[in-house]
Amino acid sequence: MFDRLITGTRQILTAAAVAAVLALGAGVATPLAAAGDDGDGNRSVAARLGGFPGILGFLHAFVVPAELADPEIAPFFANLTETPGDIEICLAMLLDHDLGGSSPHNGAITPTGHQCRSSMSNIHRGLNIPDRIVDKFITIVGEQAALVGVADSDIAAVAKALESYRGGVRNK
Amino acid sequence: MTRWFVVRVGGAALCGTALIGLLHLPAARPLLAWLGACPVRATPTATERARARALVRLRGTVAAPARPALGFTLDTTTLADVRAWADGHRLACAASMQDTLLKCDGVPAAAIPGAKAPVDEVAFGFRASDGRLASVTTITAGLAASAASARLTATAASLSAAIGAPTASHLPSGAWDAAGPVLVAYRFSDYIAGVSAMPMSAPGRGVVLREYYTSARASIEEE
Repeated sequence: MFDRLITGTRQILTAAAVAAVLALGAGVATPLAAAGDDGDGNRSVAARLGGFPGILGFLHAFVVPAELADPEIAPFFANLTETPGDIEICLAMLLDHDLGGSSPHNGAITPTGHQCRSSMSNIHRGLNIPDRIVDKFITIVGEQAALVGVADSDIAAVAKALESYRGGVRNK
Repeated sequence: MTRWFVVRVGGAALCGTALIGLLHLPAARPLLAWLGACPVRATPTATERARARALVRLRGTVAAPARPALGFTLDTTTLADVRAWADGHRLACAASMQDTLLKCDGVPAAAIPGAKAPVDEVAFGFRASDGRLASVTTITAGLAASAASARLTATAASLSAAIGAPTASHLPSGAWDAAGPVLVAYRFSDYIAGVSAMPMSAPGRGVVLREYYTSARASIEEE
């Protein structure tokens, strides 16, 4: 159990380090601010989740493994034109932005050279993702957030942010 | 004339295949993304590898005392077994991913041991390597909070009776107000399971109830 905790912490720190490099490169706010405050007195949901590095670490260590364990969702994640890391970074920036953080909404360049895209419709075109898959994806994010102790009100805000993209994801 | 046609068509097919292959190399991913991304999902083998890597992070350290999975047997049940079950209950099911994924819509309670209400969909995941059942998941959307809560409570009680206290849970002390998710989760070295209810803000989606029963035994890729 302790080994598992250390491994998880190492993963989050690694993700945070990547996040720091990215954020500095993109000229956005200092990413390693304390959770709950981004250093500028920002008390947004994003700030409470640890800003971009906190969200990225959460996605990397908890959400993506749980999504990949689902037999319906895994095929969508296991064959991407971007690397899984690119997806995590772009989604973390999107959530950070939508939840009041300082990340750009799109356009950031990841360490692999991938540029985060703005159009959900284009990203998901041809995948024919039904409503149920969107439901599952959001539910799994909510489950993992609850398991790591995120407040219900903040989980609802995250779910609402993800819901706002349902139309761009569904049946494209 | 026929030979000319065969050579031209064959050559074009070979070039096309080579081009598609090249576009999927890591260096060409930005170009593929610019072209609108790959319309083809992962292969079953790639999916299985990704799943195996994910399970390393999710599984616990102690073996499960039992591994309930809606009446099916993880690591044993085959696609043919599930098709026979589906035929017996006249269910509409569709296989995909080279028969490693089977989804059945509108499954009535009578088809699921211990269930008291129908589910929108049951999905069965089979390992590409041996064709055995790796996971069973259900999802039901559009539920009222009270109905979702009652169903979650019943499933949680059934799991608890079979395999003991959950590894983690997030349950309200009183009546559930649907302000956030509720769940119980089990993580053993060879089995991951749980049930959750999550309110959706999209119109008509209501509360989504999800159950999952997954084999977490080490796969060939991990060994």
